[in-house]
Amino acid sequence: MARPIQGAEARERARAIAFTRLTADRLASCYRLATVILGDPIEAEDATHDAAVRAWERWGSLRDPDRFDAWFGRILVNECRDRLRRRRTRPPAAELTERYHAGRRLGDGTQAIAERQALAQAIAELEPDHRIAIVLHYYLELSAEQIAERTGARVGTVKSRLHYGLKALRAAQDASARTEGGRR
Amino acid sequence: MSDERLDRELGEILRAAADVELPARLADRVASIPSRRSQSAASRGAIGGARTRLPIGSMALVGVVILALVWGVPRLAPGFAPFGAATACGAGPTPRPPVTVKSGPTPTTLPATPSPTGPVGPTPTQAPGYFEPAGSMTTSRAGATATLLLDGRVLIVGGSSGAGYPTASAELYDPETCSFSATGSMPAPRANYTATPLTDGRVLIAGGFDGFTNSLATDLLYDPTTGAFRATGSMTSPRSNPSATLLGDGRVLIAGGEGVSPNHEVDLASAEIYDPKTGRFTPTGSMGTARVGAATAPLPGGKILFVGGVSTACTAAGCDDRPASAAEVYDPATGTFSPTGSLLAGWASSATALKDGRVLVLGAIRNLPIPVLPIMRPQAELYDPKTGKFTMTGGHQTPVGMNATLLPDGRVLVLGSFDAANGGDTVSAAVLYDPTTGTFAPTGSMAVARSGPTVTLLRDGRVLVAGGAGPRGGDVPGPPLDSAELFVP
Repeated sequence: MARPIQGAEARERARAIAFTRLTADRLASCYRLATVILGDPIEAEDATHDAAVRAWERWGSLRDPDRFDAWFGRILVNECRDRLRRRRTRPPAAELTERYHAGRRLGDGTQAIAERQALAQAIAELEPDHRIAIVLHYYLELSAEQIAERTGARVGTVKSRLHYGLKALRAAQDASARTEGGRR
Repeated sequence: MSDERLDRELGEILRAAADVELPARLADRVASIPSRRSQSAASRGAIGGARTRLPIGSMALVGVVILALVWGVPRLAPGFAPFGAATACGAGPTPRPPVTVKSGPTPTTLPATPSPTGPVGPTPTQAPGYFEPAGSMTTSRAGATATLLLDGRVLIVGGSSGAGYPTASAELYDPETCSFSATGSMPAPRANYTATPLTDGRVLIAGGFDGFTNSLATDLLYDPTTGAFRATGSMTSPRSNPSATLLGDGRVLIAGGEGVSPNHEVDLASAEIYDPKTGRFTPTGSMGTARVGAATAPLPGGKILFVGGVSTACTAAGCDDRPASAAEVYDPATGTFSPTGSLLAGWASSATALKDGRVLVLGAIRNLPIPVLPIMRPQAELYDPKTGKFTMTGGHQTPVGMNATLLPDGRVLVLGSFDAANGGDTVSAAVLYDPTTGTFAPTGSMAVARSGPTVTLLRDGRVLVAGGAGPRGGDVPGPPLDSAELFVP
């Protein structure tokens, strides 16, 4: 009694279509998130692609299509974290700062610009896990619980990362303010 | 800087950094991932603890395409049938150009595998038989199941619909009116399930997957008297692509398939029995080899032959899907599987019980004249239950068949060939296997080239061929078809 072996191909095809559709719908937002985390659109492109490859290879572990956003988001964040850790000696702070000023030149004074520049620099120099927590909280506006789910860390750990990340940013901001104030 | 201002500044900086356009090349790269990764997965296995399974159909296709590059199979395509959807039922044979049967060339670069039992000789003459239009299904379907009901109608369920997604819909073909009509739908789409006719007229829909990622344990019963599907008991294990066989006592044996573990698929060796009287599944003996997509055939005395399928071998480097060449026999009396002979071929796509008790197994063998090249060529074998051994048959005319149907006169209709000489696309050709001579002969061609249609022997001896995938576009499977044809022997 022969069975339709074509079904295996149909299954693979259905998977491919589901993967393509789900990733296509979210690709732009994922690419933007990777860009914010990495501060480098070129590297973000590679990171998003590599995350998608990993997602396809792990497609069988996605048990619920409704969980795709969190599932793929976690893969993407992990990919970005790995890249941040590998390039610890090369923080592309200038890229982040440049993008900020290109996008919003308000002309609100030298000190304000300097402070933002310092803040952008400080974001780029954060520890990878702190930086990711800050981005997920202030860019995606995720709660600590949601960040914990996205990163696989405990909620307490996320709160700690947010605390120390903000502390580092504030310190950098205060240092910049003192420097700018001293120049005046 | 105040906390409020810091929050605001952080948000502005990060949102400004996100002001980027999605590069078109990234979208293209991501969209091509499934096809690129599937092509490489067979040799690499999976990465990162999970695995990507090369579809069985693709395995077959890869083998066939490689075959074409070395041999070419013009003998599988006796002439070109005109394309076009069937438009009427019972309108006689579809007009087509005169058939030119080309003799299959004896390979010069690859030595022919000796055939110990099957005659090898010149191409047989054209066998009688033709295809006629049988109308169109209500829905295009590829990879659907078709089941002959006791009243002579054919239940066609599921498959991939026009968008490529599994469909929950079902329909009936009535040979008396030569028409298709919708019937009740399954509660949800599913694919890679089995459809088994029960002795009471109902049809058991077992296992499968939900069209996304999940193997299913839930099962359905279709009742022709109500035209509805309803839930029945659940299997002890979720199974996608299992094998289901009606036993002589009316129970159904369901074995193997893909199950699930917490994070990945797992091939199953376990089996279970469905009892229509109680609607329950109970475990039975396990196979010696975990198999996905095995072919089965009833043997004299009520035993069941399990042959082929894919079994996954995992090492630290990853997992590879490998054809399961060892065959097994299930004995309902003892509820156990026993090893029997092994396939000479690497994999099997179908197993068809012949009238004399032997089983025709179509598949392919991995020929290794050049060790580094995985060259596969089609092979047909006969399993003899008396000796428990496989022997070759068919000789050089062996087709790459994906569907085999026993006809009332004892011959076997084989469809679903690929035109390997034309980039591995589907062809419309059909061939007939004659057990008395051990040879394949071309017969009439379908009006539409199709891969993986449903093939159902009707009570009047004709064969309904419905749906399937149309010609492929490179690596992309062809679109599901809604047309149907009838083979008249």
